[in-house]
Amino acid sequence: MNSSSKNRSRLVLGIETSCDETAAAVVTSDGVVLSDIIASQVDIHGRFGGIVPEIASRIHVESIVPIVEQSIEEAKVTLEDLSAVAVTQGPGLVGALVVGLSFAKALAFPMDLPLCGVNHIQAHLLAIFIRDKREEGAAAGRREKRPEFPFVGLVVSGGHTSLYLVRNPLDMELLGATRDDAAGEAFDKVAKLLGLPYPGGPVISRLAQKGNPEQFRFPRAMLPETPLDFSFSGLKTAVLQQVHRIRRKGVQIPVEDICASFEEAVVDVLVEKGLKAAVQYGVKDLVIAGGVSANRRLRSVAQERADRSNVRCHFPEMRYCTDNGAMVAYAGQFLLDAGMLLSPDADVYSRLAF
Amino acid sequence: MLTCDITSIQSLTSLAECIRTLAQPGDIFLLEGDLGAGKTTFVKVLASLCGIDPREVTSPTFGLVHRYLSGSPGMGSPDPEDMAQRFVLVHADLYRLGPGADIYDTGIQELMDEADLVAVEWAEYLQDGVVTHGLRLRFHLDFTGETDETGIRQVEIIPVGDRWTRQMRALQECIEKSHGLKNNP
Repeated sequence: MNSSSKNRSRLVLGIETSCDETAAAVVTSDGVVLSDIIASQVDIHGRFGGIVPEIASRIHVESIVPIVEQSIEEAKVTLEDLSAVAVTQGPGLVGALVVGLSFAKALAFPMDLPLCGVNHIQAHLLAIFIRDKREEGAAAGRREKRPEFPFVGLVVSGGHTSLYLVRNPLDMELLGATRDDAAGEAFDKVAKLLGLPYPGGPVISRLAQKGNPEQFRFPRAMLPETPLDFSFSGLKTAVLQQVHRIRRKGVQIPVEDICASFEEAVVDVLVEKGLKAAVQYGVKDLVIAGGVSANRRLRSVAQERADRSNVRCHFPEMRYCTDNGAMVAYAGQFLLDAGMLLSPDADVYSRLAF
Repeated sequence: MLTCDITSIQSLTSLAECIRTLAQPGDIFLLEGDLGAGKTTFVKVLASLCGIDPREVTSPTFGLVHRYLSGSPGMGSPDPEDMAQRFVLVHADLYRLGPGADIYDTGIQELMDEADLVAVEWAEYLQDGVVTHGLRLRFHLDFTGETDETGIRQVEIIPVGDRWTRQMRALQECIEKSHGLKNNP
C-alpha cells in the first residue's frame, strides 16, 4: 500500500470486459492511475432495457484494441514499460470475459509479460486504494483515512451483493451474499415494473430524492439464520404488489414515493449488514464498493450510521465504483508479487460458488 | 394441462417433489411468468430436493446461466471422478436475451447438454421446438383479494414431449395427495 521509489516505475496494464464496459488502464504499484479508459455500452443496451449478452461480446471485440491503445498512449508509456498485464478472469458473462482474457494472452505471452487473472469482485474492493494521478499531491492528507487490514468489504452491483472479510489484498473470506437477486438487479427490475428506463439505479435514485421514503414500509429481509446473507426478491415482489394495489384503486402511481421507499429499504439492509459484519469481526473499517456504491443515499446513510457504530466507512471515488480497468490493474499487482500468474491455457469463470 | 394454487413455500415444495419424482435426466423445466412470480424460488426448492445447497441458487439474470452441483460446494469443477457422483442442475435465465433468445451463442446450450436437470426462467423468450421433453410451468402472481406479504400464486403445468404427456395423470395424483397443494381441475 505504501509508495516507494523502487515500486514507482512498476506499471501494470489492467483489462476489464466482464460485463458491458470495455475498459483498460495503466496503474502504478502504489495505486496511481496514469490512464483509465472506458467504453460503456449502456446507451446501446438501454434501448433494449438491459444488457444483450451477444451484442456485448461483439462490442468488446470491436472496442478492445482501440481502448487498450488509448490507455497506453494516455499514460505516456510504451508496452515495453509494463511489468505485467492483468485481466478480469471472472466472475461475469462468459462470452464477454473470454474477449478480455484472449486479448490479454495474445498481448502478454509473445512479450514474455506475466499475466495475472483478477477476481472482479476483489478488484472492486481494492479500488478503495487507487487514485487519479491529478490528485497525487493531495493524497498524502487522505492516506490516513484509508482502511486498514483487516476490513469488511461489501460489493454491491447489478450482478453481485457480497460481504467479505478482507485480511489482505489476496485473502478475502466470503461472509455472506445474496440468496436471490443482487441489489443492482433489484433496482433494474423495480425500474422496469415502474416503466422507467435501464439502468434502473440512477433513475430511481434521482426520483427518490423527490419522494417520501416513509410513504411505504417495504420489507427488509434480515434473514436471522444467516444474518450476513441478503435477499431482495421479496422486496421486488412487495413493490410489485403495492403498484398493483394502487392501480386497482384507479389512482396515479406515486412513482417518486415508491422509488424513495424502495431505495430506503435496500439502503437499510445493506448498511445494517455491512455494519453488523464489521462489529461481529471486530474491524474498524467498512468498504462499500461496486456500481451501487455510487448511490448517494447509500453513501450518506452508511456514513451516518457508521459514525454511530464507531466504524469508519469508505467508498471508492465515484469513477472507480463502476467497472473499470484501473482496479483490475491495481489488483493484478498483488498477484504479480505473489507469483500467482496465469498459464496460456487458463480459462474464465462465470461465478463464484458459495 | 394442470393448474394448482401455491399458497406457501410448503406447497411449492410439494409441487416440486411431485415433479422431481417423475423427472428423468435431461428433462428441461420451462418457467414462465412475470417479475416476482416465483420462478427463482421454484428453482431453489427443486435444487434442495436434488441435494444442492439452496443458498447457492440465485437469480441468473446477470450471468445468464448458473450451474449447481450437489454435495459440498467449491469454486470451479471437481475432478472428473468426483463429478460423476454429483447431481448437476443448470439454471438459465433469458430475461436479458429477450424474445427469440439464442441459447447457442450465449453458452447456455453447452451447459444444458451436461446437466441432469435444467430450469429455464423467462422461457417464453425461447424459440419454439428447442425443448423436446420436460414441463412448461406458468407462474401467475394473484393480485386479487387482500394478499399477505408473499401472495398467492397459480401454476399452470403443461407437458412437453410424449413421456411427460403420459405422466400427467401420475403428476395430478401426486398433487392431489400432497398436503397443502390444491389442484384446480
